[in-house]
Amino acid sequence: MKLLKTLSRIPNFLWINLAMIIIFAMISDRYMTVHNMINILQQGSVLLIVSAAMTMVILSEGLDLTLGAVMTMAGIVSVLALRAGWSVPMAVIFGILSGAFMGALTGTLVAIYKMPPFIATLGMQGVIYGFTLAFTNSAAIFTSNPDFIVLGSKIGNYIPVAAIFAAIIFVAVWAILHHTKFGRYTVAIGGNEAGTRLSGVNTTFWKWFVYVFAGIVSAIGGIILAARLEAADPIVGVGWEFDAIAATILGGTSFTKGKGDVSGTVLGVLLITVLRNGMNVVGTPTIWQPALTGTIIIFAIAFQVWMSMREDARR
Amino acid sequence: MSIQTAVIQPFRRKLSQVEPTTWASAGRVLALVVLCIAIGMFSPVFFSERNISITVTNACVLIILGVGNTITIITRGPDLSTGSILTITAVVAALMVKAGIFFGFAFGAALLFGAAIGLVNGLMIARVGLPSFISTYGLQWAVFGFAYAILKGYVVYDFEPDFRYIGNHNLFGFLPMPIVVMVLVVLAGYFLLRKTTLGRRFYAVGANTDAAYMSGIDVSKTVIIAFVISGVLAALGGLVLVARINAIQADIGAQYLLTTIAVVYMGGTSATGGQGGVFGTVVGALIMTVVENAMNLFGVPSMWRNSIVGALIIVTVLIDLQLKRRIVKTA
Amino acid sequence: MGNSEYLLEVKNVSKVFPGVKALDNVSFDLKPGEVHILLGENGAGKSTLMKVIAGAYSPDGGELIIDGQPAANLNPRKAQDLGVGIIYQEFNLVPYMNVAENIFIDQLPVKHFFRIDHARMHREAKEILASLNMNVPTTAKTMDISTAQQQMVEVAKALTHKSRILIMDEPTASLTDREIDQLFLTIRELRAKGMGIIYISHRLQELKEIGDRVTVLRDGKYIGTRNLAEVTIESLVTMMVGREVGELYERVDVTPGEEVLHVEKLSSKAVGLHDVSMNLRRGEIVGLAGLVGSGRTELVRAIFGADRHDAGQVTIFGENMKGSAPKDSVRNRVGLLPEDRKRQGLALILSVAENTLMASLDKIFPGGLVNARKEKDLVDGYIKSLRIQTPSGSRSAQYLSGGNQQKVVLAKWLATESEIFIFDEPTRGIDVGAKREIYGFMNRLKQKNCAVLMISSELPEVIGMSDRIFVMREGSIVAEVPHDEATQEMIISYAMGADVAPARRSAADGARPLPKADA
Repeated sequence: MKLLKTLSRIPNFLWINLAMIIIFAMISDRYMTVHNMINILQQGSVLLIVSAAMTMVILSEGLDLTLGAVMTMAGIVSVLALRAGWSVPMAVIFGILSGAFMGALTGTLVAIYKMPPFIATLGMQGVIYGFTLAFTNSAAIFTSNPDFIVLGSKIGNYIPVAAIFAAIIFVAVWAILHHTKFGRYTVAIGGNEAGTRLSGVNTTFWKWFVYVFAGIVSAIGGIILAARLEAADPIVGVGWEFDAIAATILGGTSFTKGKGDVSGTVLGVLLITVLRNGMNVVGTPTIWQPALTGTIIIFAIAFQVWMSMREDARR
Repeated sequence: MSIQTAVIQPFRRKLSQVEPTTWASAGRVLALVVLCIAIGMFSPVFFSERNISITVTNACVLIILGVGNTITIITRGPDLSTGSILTITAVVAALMVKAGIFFGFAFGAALLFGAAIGLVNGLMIARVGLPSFISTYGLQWAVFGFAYAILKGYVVYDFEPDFRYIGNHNLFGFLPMPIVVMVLVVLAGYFLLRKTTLGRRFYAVGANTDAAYMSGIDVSKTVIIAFVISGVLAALGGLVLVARINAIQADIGAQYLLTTIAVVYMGGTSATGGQGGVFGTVVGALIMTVVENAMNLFGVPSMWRNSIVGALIIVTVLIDLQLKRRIVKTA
Repeated sequence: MGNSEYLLEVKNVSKVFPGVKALDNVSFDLKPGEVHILLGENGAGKSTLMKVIAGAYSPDGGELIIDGQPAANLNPRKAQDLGVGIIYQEFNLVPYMNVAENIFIDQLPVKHFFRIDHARMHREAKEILASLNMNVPTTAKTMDISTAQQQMVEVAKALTHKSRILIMDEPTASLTDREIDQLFLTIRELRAKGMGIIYISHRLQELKEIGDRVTVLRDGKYIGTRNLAEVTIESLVTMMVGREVGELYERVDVTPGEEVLHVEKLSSKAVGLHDVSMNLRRGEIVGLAGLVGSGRTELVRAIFGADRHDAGQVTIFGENMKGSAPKDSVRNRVGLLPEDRKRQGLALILSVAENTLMASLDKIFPGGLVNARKEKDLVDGYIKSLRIQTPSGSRSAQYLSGGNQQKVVLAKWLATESEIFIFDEPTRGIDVGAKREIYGFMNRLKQKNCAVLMISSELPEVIGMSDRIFVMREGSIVAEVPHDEATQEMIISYAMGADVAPARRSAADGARPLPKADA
C-alpha cells in the first residue's frame, strides 16, 4: 500500500521516460551502449543549462522567448572576440556579458514597463536575431582555437565538458533557488507578486534580475554550444527556447503560482533528449524527426498541463 | 469672446469627449502618411505606380493573416502558428495541384486543413487550458516540421494558371487579385467583429472571460471558433502567396511569425484583449510593408529586418500600455 | 498638540476613486500603548484609510504625521521603515513557500554574504510563533495550513518588523474563540510594550474587550472619536448608521405565485454545501442570510450552474438543471448579479451597450446579425428607465460609478427577460442614493411577478426587503424565517449556531452589528 502511494507520486513523465527508453532499447541494439549514453549526456547538457534559466523565469510567472537568441548571440560575440585576438577567458566573459545585457533590456521591458512577457520577449527575440545575422553576415563563423573548443569536447573521450558545466550550473541554480534571497523572491513573485510587494520586497528589481540571470545562464549555454560546433552560427539557437519551456513544464513547473522546482526540469530535459536521441538512433528518417518530435512534445505539454489542472481541481 | 463661447468652447468640449482610442487611430494614419511622404521625398521611385502596386500587393498576405490574429488577440491571445499553418496548407495544396488534382479541391483541402490545425490550437487553449502563446508557439515547430518533411527540402514551382489565378490575375485588367481577396477578407472581418453577435462574443470573452461566462456565453466555443477562423485565414493567405510567387519552399511562412502579430498590435488591437479591429490592422500592415519597402529602396541589409520588426512590436505595445495607464489614472 | 504625544496623526485626508469619494477630510490619531478601533459599515472608508496609512494608497489631500514627522510620499516599504506594520484581511502569503520564509519574507536572514540562514530563520520563526502560542510547523507550505494559521503567520510577520504602529484589518474574522483569546492576549502584551494598534472591526461585542478608543467613519466621512469606557454600544451604532433602520426599505405587498425555483438536497464537496433545500416563488423577494463563508455565494453559483454539484437537484421552471452551465440558466430566464461586479458582472473596457446586451445576443438578434438601430433603442430605453448616469450607451463601463455599474448589470438581465433574479450583495460599495434605487427596482420586479433571491450581509437590508429569509451556516440552510417574525437577533443566532458562545459572536461577520445585543 505504501509502495503504491510512493509509486503514484512519481510524476507521469518519468514513466513515459522509462517506457520510451525501453521501447528505443528494444528497437535498436545500438541504443543501450556507453557511446550512446555519452551522446545523450552531451546533447542534454546545453538544454539543461538553458532550461534551468527558463525554469527561473517561469517560476516568476514570466516567460522568456529570447533565450535561444541570447545563446546564439553569446556564441557569436565570443567567437568574434576570439577572432579579434582576445584571450579565451576574456572572450567568454564578453559573451556572457552580452547575454546579461540583453537580459537587462528584456527585464526592463517586463519588470519596469510591465509589458506582457511573451510580447516583450518575442519582440526582443527579433531584435537579437537581427544583430546576430548582421554580425555574422548571415553565415557561420568558424573557430579552431583549441582552448575554446575544449569547452565542447570530452575528457578522455568519455565525459563531456559540457556535462560538467551543466551539472555545476544545475546545482548552482538549485542552490540559488532554495538558499538565496534572489531565488526565494523569484518564487514569491510567481506565487503572489502583489502580496510580496506589499510585504516590502522590491519586486520590480528582483523580477528584472530574473531576466538578467536567465540571460547570463543561457549565454553560458550558447558559448558551450558554439565550442562544441566549433562555430558561431547566426540561427543556431532557433527553437531552443521552446525546448526549454517544454522541459520546464514537463518537469512539473506551472505557469502560475510559483509552483515547481528546477530539479523537475532535469527530468523534463531527460525526456526531450531521450526522445530526440532515440528517434535518431532507431533510424527515423532525419527529415521526419522535427515533425515527430515537435508533435510529441506539444501534446506531452498539453497532457502534463491537463493532468496538473485536474490535480489542482481535486485539492 | 463671442467666438470663444460660440465655437471654441463647444469644440473643446467635443474634443475632450473623443475616446483616446480614436486619437490613437488618427495618429496611426497620420504616421503612415508622414512615413510615405518622407520616404517619397528621399526616393521618388516610392510613388511610382509600379512600386505602389507592389507594396500594396505585398501587404495583402500580411493583412489576411493579420485579420485572423486580430480576432484571436481580441478574444484570447495571439496565434503564433499562422506562419506555419500558411506553410503547410500551401505545401499540401501545391503538391495536390502538381499531382494533377483539380485546383478547387486543392483550395478546399488547404482551407479545411487550416481549420483543422486551428481547431487543435483552440482545443488546447480552451479545453486543456494552455496559454495561447505557448500552445501556438509550440505547435508551429511541429507544423513546420511536417511541411519540411513533406517537401523533403525541395522547392516546388511553376503551377498551372487556374491555381495561380488568385495571386496572379488582374481583375478587370488592372486590379490584382490579392488585393481583391484582401479587401474581401477585411470587409468580412469587419462585418464579423462589428455586425454579428459572434463578434460581440469575441469582444466579451476577451474583455472579461469570467463576466462573459457568467452571462451565459460559451467561452470555450467562442475561443475555438476564433482560432479556427485564424487557421482558415492563414491557409487563404498561403494560397494567395504561393499563387503570386509561383513557388513554395518549407520556410515560406517563417517570416510571418513576428510580422503578423506586430501589425495587429501596431493597428491598436490591445495586447490585453477585448479591444481593437481590422481597419487598424490594415494600417499597421501598410506601415510595416512601407517600412520594408523603404529598407529595400535605401539598401538596408535584409538581416536587420528582424530587429526592426521586433523593435516595432515593443514600441507599439509600450505606447499602448502607457496610454492605457494614463486613462486609468485620469478616469 | 505635542508632537511626541501621538505615534500617528492623520489630518484631513481625502482619497477619491473614479465615481466615489472613499475618504472625505478624515482625521485620526494614535497614541503609544493604546488600541484604537476604527469602526464603520462596509464601504465606510476603513480599509482605504488603513491603506493610506500603510503607504499602499497615496492620499489626494491632507497629511500624515508619524512620530511627529510629516510623512509624505509613503510607499509600503517606507511606511514599514517608519514603523507601520499592517495585517491585511487578504493575506499576502506566498502559497508555495514555507511558514518561516513567509514570516521573514522581506528580511530573510543571510550568512556568508548571500546564503539564507535557514537554521536561524526557522529558530526565530519558532520563537515568534511560540510567543503567539501557535503550533504551526515552520516548514509547512502556507498553502497547506488552515486559514487561522495563515492569519497567525501574518501576525508573526508583522511582529518581526519591530513596528510601533500595527494595523489589523478584522483580524478575528476567521479565528476560533480560542484563537481570538490568544490574539487578544498578544495584543494586550504589545500594547503594554507601548505599541499603538489600529484595530479595524465591525464586531461591536469585542470592542470593549480589547479597545481603548474608537473612531467611527461613515460614507468616507469622519463622524467622531470616543473613549470606549465612556460610550454605550447603542450610541456607537447610531454614529455608524446615522439613520433609523427601516427608513431605506419600502415594502410592497404581492401575493406569491407559483414556485419557479426548487432546490432539493443539493450537496457539493468541492465548495462545501450539504443537503441544501429551498424554494422561490413568483412575486416574492427571498433573503439568503449567513456569515461570510457560510456558503451563500457557493449556493447561488451552484444554482446558476457556475459550479458543479455532486448530489441533489435544482429545478427551474419545472426543468431539471442537472449538469447545467450558466448558458442553460440564462436560457431558462435566470439572471445572477454577482458580488464582484468588476470581475464577474461587467467587462469594464466594453461599452454600456455591449455590456447590456452581453447575455441576450441570441434573444435580441436571433439571426446572428447586430442591428444597430434596435440596439440603440433598447439600450437607451434601459438607460432611461433605470436612470443610468452615462452620456451615452457607447461610454465604456469603467467610467461609471459603482451604483451605475450595478444598474448596467441589472439591465443585462432585464434584456434577457429574466424572471428569476439572484442578487449577491447588491448594494456593496454603492452610495445611499443608488441603494435606494436598487431597492426600488427589486420591488418593481416583485410587482411584475418575477422572483428575487438576495444574498446580503447587511441584516437590516435582508429583513427590510425579504418576504422570507433562509439562514445558512457552514454550507447548510439552518432556518427559514418569514418576514414578520424576523429579528436581527434571531437571524444572527441561527447564523452563528446555538453552540457558539453568544457573548462575543453575536454580530454576524460582515453584518451590521446588533443595536440591542448584550455587551
